[in-house]
This record gives sequence, C-alpha cells and structure tokens, in this order.
Amino acid sequence: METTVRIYDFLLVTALLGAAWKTLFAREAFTSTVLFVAFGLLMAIVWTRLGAIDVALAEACIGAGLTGALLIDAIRHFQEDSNLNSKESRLTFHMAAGVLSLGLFSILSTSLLNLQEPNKDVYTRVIDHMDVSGSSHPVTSVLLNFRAFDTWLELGVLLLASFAAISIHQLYDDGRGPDLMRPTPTAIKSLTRVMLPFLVIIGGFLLWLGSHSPGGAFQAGSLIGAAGILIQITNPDRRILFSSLGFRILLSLGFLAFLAVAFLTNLLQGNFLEFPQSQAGTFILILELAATASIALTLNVMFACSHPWTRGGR
Amino acid sequence: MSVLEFTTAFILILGVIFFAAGSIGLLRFKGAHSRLHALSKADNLGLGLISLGCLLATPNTATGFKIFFIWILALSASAVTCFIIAEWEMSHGDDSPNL
Amino acid sequence: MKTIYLTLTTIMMITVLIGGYRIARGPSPVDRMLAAQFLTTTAVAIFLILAEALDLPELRNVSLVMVSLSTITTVAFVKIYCPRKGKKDECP
Repeated sequence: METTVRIYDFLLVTALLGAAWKTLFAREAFTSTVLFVAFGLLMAIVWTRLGAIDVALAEACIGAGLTGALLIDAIRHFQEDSNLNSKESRLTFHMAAGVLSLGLFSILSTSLLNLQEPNKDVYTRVIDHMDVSGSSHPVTSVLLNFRAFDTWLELGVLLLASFAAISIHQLYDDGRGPDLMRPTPTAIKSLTRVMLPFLVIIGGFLLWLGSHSPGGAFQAGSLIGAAGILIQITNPDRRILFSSLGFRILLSLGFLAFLAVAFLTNLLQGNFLEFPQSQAGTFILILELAATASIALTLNVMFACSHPWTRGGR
Repeated sequence: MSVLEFTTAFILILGVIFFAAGSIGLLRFKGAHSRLHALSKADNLGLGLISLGCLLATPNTATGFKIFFIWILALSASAVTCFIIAEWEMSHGDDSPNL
Repeated sequence: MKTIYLTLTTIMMITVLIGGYRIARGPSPVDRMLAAQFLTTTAVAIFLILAEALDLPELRNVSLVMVSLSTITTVAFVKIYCPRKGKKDECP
C-alpha cells in the first residue's frame, strides 16, 4: 500500500507540474485558462492529500467553476485591445519578471530548507479552548473567534478590491458587455432555473456546516456568488446597479458587521472582538452571515467589472 | 471479506474500468464529437457505478441521500453541457484537423 | 479494502493525466472544454472514493460543491468564447 501511495503522489505531482508548465507556455490564452481550471482541481486533490479539507473545499469552490468563467469573460473583453495583444517582445519587462520570479523562488526554497517542526503547542491550545469558542470545528474557531481580526482585515481587502473594480467599470465601461455574448440556448435556461435554487441551498448548507465541519462563510459566499454569476451570464441585460443603497450596504456588510461587533464587544467586555463566552456561537453566526453576503456580492462585482482599463482599447 | 464488501469492491472496480474506457476514448478517438460521445456516456456510467458502490459502503441513510443527490446533479449537468458543447461545435467549430 | 480504494484512486489519477493531455493537445477549443468538464466529473469520483478510503465524510461536501459548479465554466464558454481566427468567425 505504501508504494501505491507513492505512485499516486508521483502521478499527482506530474499532473500538477505538467498543467503549470503548459499554462504558462500555451499558445493561446484560452488553453491557459482551461489548464488553470484543471490546475485548480488538482490543487484541491493536493490539499486533501495534505489534510487541509477546508482549503480543499475553498479551492473547489473558487477554482472549479468561478475562475474559468471569470477568465473566459476577461479574455473576451481583452481580445480586441491592441495594447495587450502586441507580439513585440518587451525585453526589460520580461527580464524584470524573470528576476522577480527568481527572487521568489530563492526565498521559497531557503524557507523550505530551513523548515522546522510545526508548532504543536498552538494546536493543543486551540483544542483546549474549543468549548468556549462557539463552534466545534477548530478552523472556524480560529478564523472567526481567536483571529477574528485577521478575517476582518481580509474582508477589508475584498472591499478595497471591489472598490477598485467598480471604479474601473464606471470610468471605462462603454455598455458593450451584453453585446459580446451569444443568445442563451434553451437547455441552459432550463438548467439555470433548476440549478439556482440548488446553489443557494447548498451555499446555506455549507454555511451551517461551518460550525462543526469544514465549510463556513467563504465557501458559502462563493457558491452564492456563483449563482449570481450564472444569472449574469445567462441574462446579461440584468446589470448590477452600483449606485443603489442596498447594493452598497450589502457589499460592505461583512466589514461593517465586524466593525459593529468590535465596538459592541468593547462596550460589553472591555476588549475589541472579545466575544462573551456564552454568546460566542451567536456572534460567529452573525459574522458569517454578513461575510457570506459580502463575499457573494464581491465575486459578482468582479465578474461584472472586467473591462480593459486603457482608453485606446477599442 | 463479507458479501457486502465484495459487492462494493466489484461495483467500484467496474466503475473505474468505465472511467478508464472513457479516457482511452478521449485519447484515441478522432474528432471532438466522438470524444464527446466517449466522455459523456462512459464517464457518467462510471460515476454512476462509483456512486452506487459508495452508497453500498456508507453507514447511514443521510449520507446515502447525499451521494444520490451528487449523482443526480452530475447526471443533469453532464446532459446539458454535452449538448451545448456539441451545439457550439456544430455552429462555431473551426475546421481543425481530426487529430 | 483500503488497498483497493487506493489502487482505484491511482487509476483515476492516470485518467486525470489523460484528460490533462487532451486539454493541452486538443486542436479545437471544444476538445479542451469537454476535457475540462469531464475532469471535474473525474475529480468528483476521486473525492467520493477518497471519502470512503480515508473515512472523511467532509470530502463528500467537496464533491457536492464541485458538481454544482461544473457547469458554469461550460456555460461561460458557450456564451462568451470567441475564437481568434477561423473561417466561421461569428463573434457578436
């Protein structure tokens, strides 16, 4: 059985390296996109092999479907941009990219060579405090209780990214988005009608799972975001109204919920983001609901706002 | 091994054989339409058999329902996607060589 | 029993490699897209077997998520993708 596992690992690594190589050196952007989707699926298998089920779930959510749709849409929008498609080789650009990649490679390899034993003390401390953390899954407790500050800042980064995307959209959109798509086949319309409620239900299921099993806000948000992207692809005339108050509130709901909880806990406990031990589960649920809404809407914004940001594109 | 384990192993091995057959078809058939036939039929049959094998091996009913649901979703997704891919190939396909 | 599961997973990994080869090689974009679509199905099967082999019921949720999201890339391809060259260049 040991040799079977080694053969399995060897095949997995070969597939990963082959997919990565061909993604970088394919002739067309579309080949790279499809290989990148395959790479995401292989990475989900790798995360499972390493024992990180939460990361495998997140990779399956984002890499299996959303990345493909986003990149295909981006390829279409950038296809007519002459600046990006020029065949001339910009030597300094390529050399700078090569030097930076070499630097990153040396940093990663030296840290790999100096790798120490993982800190088991942290793991035992998390397990010891699980009963006051509000959830029975260690990853959720760490993400949403012990290190809630980090999750808050992650949501802030997502909010900044969507601000950037919306700004680019408002400046450079020429309204040609729906014209670039073909009419929807009937089969897709019926599939969408069936898949949309299931996507929302499975997203809610993953959100509920987060309290005792791998899952949580990010995975649930990406599923609901995928449902929204499916609507955007099949009904391109339905545009997001970026100026509506409801949209703006929902987009920033994750960040604002953390802000409100921080001030509330400061009033109640004297420390920011220190949950009262009896209510920790409720706080985690509220924060996860808000984060799900924000993440889903951020993904939809990213899909809706993929435009070239050079004026001379068309 | 008990009868149940033996049946599970047999059904799983049969499912993987169908998957392998679909992949060999993907490798050696010429033209996108033939490869689509190989994949959408053999791969889905393989997935159905593997789901059946995992159904037989699960301890409780709720997990069985989840596996059945996964299979139904995979079947409906494959049915629609192989149709729309074939329709795209008919109307927008280029005259690539049949490699 | 676990040996059988692991052997089957290794054979499925060979299937994944063949699918990857078809993505890289396939002369038309349809070849690449259908290989990617059914690579997702293969990954679902791998995760179902792994859930039994490693006794981790959470992996079935990974299968569920992958099967729900498998159609989005294909739908995007059919609606949006426009080949750069070719005689039937009917991009909107």
